[in-house]
Amino acid sequence: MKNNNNKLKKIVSVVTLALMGSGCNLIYKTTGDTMAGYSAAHAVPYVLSIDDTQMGCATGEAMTPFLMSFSRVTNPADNVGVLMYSSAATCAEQKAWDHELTYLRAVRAGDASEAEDAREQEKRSYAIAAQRQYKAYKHMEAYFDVKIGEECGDLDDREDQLVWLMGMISGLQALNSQLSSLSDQGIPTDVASKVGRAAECLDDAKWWGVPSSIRALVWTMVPGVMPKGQDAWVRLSQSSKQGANNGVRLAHVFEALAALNAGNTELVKDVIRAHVASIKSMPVRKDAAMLDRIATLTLRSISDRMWTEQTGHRTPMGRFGKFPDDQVKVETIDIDDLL
Amino acid sequence: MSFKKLLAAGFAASMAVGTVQAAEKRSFCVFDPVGANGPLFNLMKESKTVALKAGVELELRAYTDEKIAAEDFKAGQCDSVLLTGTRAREFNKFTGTLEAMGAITSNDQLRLILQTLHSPKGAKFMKEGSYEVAGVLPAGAIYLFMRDQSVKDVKDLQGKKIATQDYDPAALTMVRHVGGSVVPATSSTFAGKFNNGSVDIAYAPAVAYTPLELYKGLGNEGGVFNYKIAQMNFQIIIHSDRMPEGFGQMSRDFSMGRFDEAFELIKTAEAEIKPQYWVDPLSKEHSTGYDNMLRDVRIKLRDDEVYHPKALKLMYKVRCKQDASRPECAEGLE
Repeated sequence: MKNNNNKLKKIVSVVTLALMGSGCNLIYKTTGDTMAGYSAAHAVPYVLSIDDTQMGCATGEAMTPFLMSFSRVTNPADNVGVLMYSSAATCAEQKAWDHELTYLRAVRAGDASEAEDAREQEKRSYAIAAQRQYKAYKHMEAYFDVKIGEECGDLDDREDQLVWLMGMISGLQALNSQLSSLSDQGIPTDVASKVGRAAECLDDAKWWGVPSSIRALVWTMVPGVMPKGQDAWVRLSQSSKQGANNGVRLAHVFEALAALNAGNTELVKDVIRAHVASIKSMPVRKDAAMLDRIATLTLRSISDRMWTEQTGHRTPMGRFGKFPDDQVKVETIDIDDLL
Repeated sequence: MSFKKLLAAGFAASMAVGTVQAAEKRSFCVFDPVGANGPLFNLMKESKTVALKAGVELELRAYTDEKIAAEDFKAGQCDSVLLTGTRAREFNKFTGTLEAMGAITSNDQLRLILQTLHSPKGAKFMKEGSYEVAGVLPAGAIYLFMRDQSVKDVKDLQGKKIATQDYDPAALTMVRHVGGSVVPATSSTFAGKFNNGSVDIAYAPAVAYTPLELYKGLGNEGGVFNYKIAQMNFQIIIHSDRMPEGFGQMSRDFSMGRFDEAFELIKTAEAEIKPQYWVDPLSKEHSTGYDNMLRDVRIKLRDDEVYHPKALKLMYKVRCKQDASRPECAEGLE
């Protein structure tokens, strides 16, 4: 009996020691899996449904290292990584926009030193944005484990389709940010063409015209990739309408970017006007409020740039959708007989 | 002084202090195949602050069609323009000759030539009539991209379909010289033609390889001939009478300050081409044979008044300074 007791004690001790040794890892792993599962199932959809972009950006910057650190103890949550890194990138992007406005004001004032310094700050912010956006793209690539642009990922779930969409957008943004940073951030220049083809994997109707819009933008960016019989501008316009009719106006951004690229200022203005008009007439889709708001902010940054170039300040409150050189008809009545 | 006069004087003084002398606005039309978000346009944004120091506020406009950019510049709708060296030839034959085939065989030679021309002493060659070249930026060596590696020698080019920028007399002469079949192409269409097999061969700098996915046309069988056919460049041209005195030199100094970046970019792009694609000339003799062939073409184009004789002479001097043992150095034909 005594022998049996000793044996049992020994077994318990060994098991306890073993558990103590691996206990932390076990807890971490479980916590990591729980956090990743929770983030994908609740945190991300919640953040997408709010329209406070500053909070979205802050969440991205603050939470990304914490959430992604669990990849040390369990499988990396690549799907969460896509959305977290792309959110964090918006912070850097917004800083870059602000520096650009400072640069434009300095140019207007003829202050070369201030302009140069602001431009350097702008480039630094774009370099950070490019890094974050490319990480988002790489997480998308890892999550689906396919050759982007050659094959489609497993896209049965709507959540996975969102990851695919955000990954593609991040890839395009990464390339643009790298170009704006005037530095090599390690982003391959064929990302644009790959994303253009990968966009075909998503149903346009389900994603508010965004996939088509991305494809058409790429056609305007990369010489010689537009298929015969297609018209990028028609496609962009159709996609924008689709987005406006569904209350997620992300496609407006791609149409405006294509117009900016082509130097077509009038079209840029028309897109912004249409966007503002749509906000008034079509309520935002609740589960994608963040994406719609990001679209609005991106277009407002373009508007700010145009206002600053012409007037020295950004778009005044209440004037988004209007431009300094708009011809305003002022109605008066004839008062000659009173004079 | 009356109160009114004092007030007027005070007002005038405050206006003078409050008003910043506005810079003169001048347009800068930039050819970038990608558009306003492309690498060239972004790089040219940097020139805005440089120009500001000379009292000029540059307004940049993006052109994806180089021909239209050149025409708008010629018509006076652009005060300055950025074009490829080939298009720039009509505004300055000397700098337009820097892209001459086989004339610059290494990056060191190119750097030496560009540094010389960008120095104040080189300014004489930068002006032609009212046009002035306000900077030349290297874009890298032009290589032959082949859909199959059966091309081992120049004679193998006979009958091959070659995507050719047919507005360039130098390219036409060259393709015909080697017996190739000219398939007209532009910077927007050549990659598509190469990738879908409409042509057997295209020529391009390494910077086009990744963004235009030329590896698709190369596939498993293709190759890149490891011989520098020419050195591509981009040139800033200004209507010198529309710019302040000294603006051209200031802009050339700006361009020279970007050389390191440009060469780094070219190096990265060349490293992106997979090692298995590079096809070396069969032997040193073959390589010398190509050198001689390209020299003959250059001399013909000089005699046809396409290339500038002094520019050819300068590049010849640099080649022989770098390697005096080259057979051509004893002959002195250029």
